[in-house]
Amino acid sequence: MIRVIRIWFRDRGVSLGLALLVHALAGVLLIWGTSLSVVSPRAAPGTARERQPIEATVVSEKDYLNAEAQIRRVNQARAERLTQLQRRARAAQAARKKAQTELARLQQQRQVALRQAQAQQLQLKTRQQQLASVEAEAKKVRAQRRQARQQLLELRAAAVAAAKARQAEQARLAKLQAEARARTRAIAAAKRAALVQAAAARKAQLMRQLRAEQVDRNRRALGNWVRAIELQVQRNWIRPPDVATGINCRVRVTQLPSGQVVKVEMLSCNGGSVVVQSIITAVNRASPLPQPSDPTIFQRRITFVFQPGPNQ
Amino acid sequence: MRIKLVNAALLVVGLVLAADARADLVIKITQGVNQPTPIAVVPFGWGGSGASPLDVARVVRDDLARSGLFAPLPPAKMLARPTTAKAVHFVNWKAVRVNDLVIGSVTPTPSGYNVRFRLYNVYTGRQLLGYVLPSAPDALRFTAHVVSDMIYKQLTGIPGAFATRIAYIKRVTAGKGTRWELVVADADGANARVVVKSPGLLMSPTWSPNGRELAYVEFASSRSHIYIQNIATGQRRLVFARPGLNSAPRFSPDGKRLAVVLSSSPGNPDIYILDLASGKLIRVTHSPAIDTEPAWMPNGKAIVFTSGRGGSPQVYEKNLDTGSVQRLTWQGGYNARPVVSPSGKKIAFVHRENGALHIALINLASGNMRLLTNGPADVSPSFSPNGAMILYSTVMGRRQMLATVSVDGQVRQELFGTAGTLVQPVWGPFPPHLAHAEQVSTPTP
Repeated sequence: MIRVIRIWFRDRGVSLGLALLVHALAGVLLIWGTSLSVVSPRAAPGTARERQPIEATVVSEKDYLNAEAQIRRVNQARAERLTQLQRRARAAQAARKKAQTELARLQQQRQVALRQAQAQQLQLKTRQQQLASVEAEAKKVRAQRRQARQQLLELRAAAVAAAKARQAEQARLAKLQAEARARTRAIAAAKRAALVQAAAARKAQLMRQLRAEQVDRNRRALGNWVRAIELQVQRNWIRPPDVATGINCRVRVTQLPSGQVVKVEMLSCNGGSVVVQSIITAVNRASPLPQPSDPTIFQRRITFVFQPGPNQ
Repeated sequence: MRIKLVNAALLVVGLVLAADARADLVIKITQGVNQPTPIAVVPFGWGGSGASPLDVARVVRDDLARSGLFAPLPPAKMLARPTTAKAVHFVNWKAVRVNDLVIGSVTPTPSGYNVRFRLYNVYTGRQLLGYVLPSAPDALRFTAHVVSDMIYKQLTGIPGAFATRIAYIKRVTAGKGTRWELVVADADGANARVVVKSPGLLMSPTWSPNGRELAYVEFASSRSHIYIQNIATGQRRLVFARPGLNSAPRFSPDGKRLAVVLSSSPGNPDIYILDLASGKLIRVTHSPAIDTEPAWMPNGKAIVFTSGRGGSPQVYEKNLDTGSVQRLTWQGGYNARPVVSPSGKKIAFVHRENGALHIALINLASGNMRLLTNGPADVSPSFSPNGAMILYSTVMGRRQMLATVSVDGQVRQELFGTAGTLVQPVWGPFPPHLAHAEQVSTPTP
């Protein structure tokens, strides 16, 4: 077994190491470049075969010394090889570095390109999005416009309708107002007419009342005046003794508004001269006659009818 | 409205026209006042030298006042004292509210005086009377009464009775004895003149209708005699001296008969009528009761008398033609001594009420009785010849005297100049005079 391993190593030492390195690098790269999508397709199967012998290693003293000498040789060889390898590694590293650089460059390029693409894509997408957005916007705007137009139309229609309605309303209002005014006017006119009529009726009533009162007042005033004159004349008529009953004498007296008797005419008398004389004296003696309370009822001429009853 | 106004206007115009067209305002006067007429009798002018023999105006004022129908203005209240027509200003008399004005004057004449007077109505200014009355020197007072009569007649329509005379019995106590006198005086009591003097009782004087004679009863030797005596000559004749009572003589209105009261021997007085020319005596009453105090109705066809036939003294009337007797007084238990008014429409008599004697008056037409005097002892009524007044005997304090009352009972007045105990007055008739009055100007109607 160890031999096998040794052989394997001997045969395969350098390659193994290299392989391990590459694998390690690859693993690093893998680990490091998980993000990269580019993987070397050659290294992948060798790595999977070398892992199994390492797990079954058990070592004795002699073997050990041998191994040591061997190790020393190997080490030497190895150092040489290492140097070599290191060179090679350095070269490889340089190459790798170069490759890496190149790769990096490429990757960078790719990255850049990718980024560019991505950017472009993004840009495109953005642009698309923008476009879509613009389109959507435009659509929206168009829709809005349409809507607006629609609304405008509707508004216009509404405005027209509203205007019509307003006009109609105004007309209706105007009509109503006119009607109201007319009604108010009619009511006012009716009221005025009623008032005028009432006033006229009241006036007529008052005038009637006034006339009635005037007539009444005149009648009363006349009655009072007549009574006052009658009393005054009676007080002044000294009735002759033994005047026969059935005496009837009419004497007309003309008076001034002051009541002053200015004229006395005996119109008729069935009594003797004594009676005539007494009557003429009485009406003269009664002067001035009482004046009426109301001057309008004054009468200038008064006829006294002396018609005495029995003396006792 | 307008039509109504027009109607109203037409109505007013109509009323005015009606008022204008209507006859005068007519006022009926159914009453007057029974007041004395205010009159002014201005003191008369005196045309002679010295003092006026008589205040004629005062006599006239007193006469008019006594009648009860006039209220003469006292001279002190006169604003002016005119004695001629020219001096009269009626405003002065209207101012003192008199209805009538009398002015006048007395002037001496060879045969006595001329009494001149005028009567005016103050309100019309008209002269109602204007006369000149010649007067004998001793008749000036009588002439003044005539003036009163003329004024009275003019203003009342009734003849005045101032220029008349009265007769009465006066009892005179001189020393131990008492004598009776039959006195004739002017109606105002002035100019008293004794016609008969007698130591015996004088009773029941009565005037003949012509005023020239008086019949009366004289008691002498306890017997009663009825005499008729001529006033002017003093001659008298015995008419009755029968046994028993001869009393209460009354001349008939024509003066041809004498009603008397005679008692037959049983002493029951009855009324008889003596025909003065033939001496024929007729018995008028036959009652067993006392019938006395006869008075003639003016037509001479009936006699009113006092009779106790009803149980108390009452006044009855007997128609001399038919013989029917009618009781006239019904009020009270004592109505006696009737006298008939000149018109025959009223009877005055003595009415006793609550022991007092009053002069009462009954209106024959209505039967209404009225007391004219207050008593307490008013007796012996006698109408003035114009019927306006009643003369009677009254007692004032202790004095028995004469008084007059107007027939309306308004004015009662004691007669002046009649001091003494005076009873049984009788008012004489109108004298037949005034024919000699002469108008100074025609009275305006």
